[in-house]
Amino acid sequence: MNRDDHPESDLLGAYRRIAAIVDPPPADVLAAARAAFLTRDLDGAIAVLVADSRASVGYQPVRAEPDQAQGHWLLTFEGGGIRADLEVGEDAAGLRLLGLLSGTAEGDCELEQAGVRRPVEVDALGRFVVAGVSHGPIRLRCRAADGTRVTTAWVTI
Amino acid sequence: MEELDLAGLVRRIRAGDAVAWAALTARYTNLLWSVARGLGMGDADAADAVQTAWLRLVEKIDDIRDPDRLGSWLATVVRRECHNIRRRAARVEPGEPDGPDGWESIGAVTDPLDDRLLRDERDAALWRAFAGLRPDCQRLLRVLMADPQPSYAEVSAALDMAIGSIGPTRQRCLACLRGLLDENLFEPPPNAKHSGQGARGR
Repeated sequence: MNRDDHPESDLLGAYRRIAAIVDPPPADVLAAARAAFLTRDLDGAIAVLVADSRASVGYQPVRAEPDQAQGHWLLTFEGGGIRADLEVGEDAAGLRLLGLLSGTAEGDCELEQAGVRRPVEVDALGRFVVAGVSHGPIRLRCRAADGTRVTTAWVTI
Repeated sequence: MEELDLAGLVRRIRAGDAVAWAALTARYTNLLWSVARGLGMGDADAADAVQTAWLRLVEKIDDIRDPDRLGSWLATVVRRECHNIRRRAARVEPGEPDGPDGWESIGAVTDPLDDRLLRDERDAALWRAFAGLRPDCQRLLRVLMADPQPSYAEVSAALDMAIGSIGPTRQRCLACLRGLLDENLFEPPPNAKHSGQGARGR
């Protein structure tokens, strides 16, 4: 039954049993994992994350006086004919996204998080602000100028 | 636990089979949760990291070339997400922790763990002994506690650790654990970082 034939396996087995009691994955985590399949998008193109100020790719790390409470960072997605720049900031109401889109059709853009989609109001210059966003994985769903639906890759904010 | 036919599952998932997807999540969510916990994430952050891994997989399911390495791929995504999440609170160097210590520099993982649910005093003592281990041992053993038991390839991906060092490290950590248990089976470990942890709620 167990492919573990080490002599300590009894002890580890006891801990596996205890972890199942004390620290199992919560039911909502299991349910969210199953529900993730609903986000499958067969025809949309994907704009991938090409730069993330938190990682060592794309941007020079921002080292000048970052405010820990603000903790904002920059994300850039490209693909499917669009580019989306996002600045994630934090204020009392939660997270705030400042966005700049290019290559998208006017209107018709939404922010998706935990199965909920909310429309994003994009101005004529492609800018938008969304306030009160919770921590967790998000993505943008927009339409490129040629009509293709494009979603950004998921990113956890 | 019988081995899943991962290639078959991936084929079915690509064809839109939600049952196959559910089977995959049932197989790996416990491992991913264990990885996030092992890396010291609290409830909400661990949930985000695990969910992000599943969302990424949905996004990439058509690109998976080697379904047998799916567990390792998911574990890697969770490890990276945990680090990204950690950075949103604290200002640290970009990239994963590196240098001689790597993840070693990150604190112990016992914070979210609680023995209040353990009715059996012996189990509670085991859990308290675990809290007295060094952080690197806690990390490794917490991942090895995943159910079903992870492969060493998955553990290696989860902790960014050479496969060859997992066996010896595990042996050393379990030996430490036995030492702690022999020393003081029913008392909270003397030098535990979170010495109040084991006694909470008792």
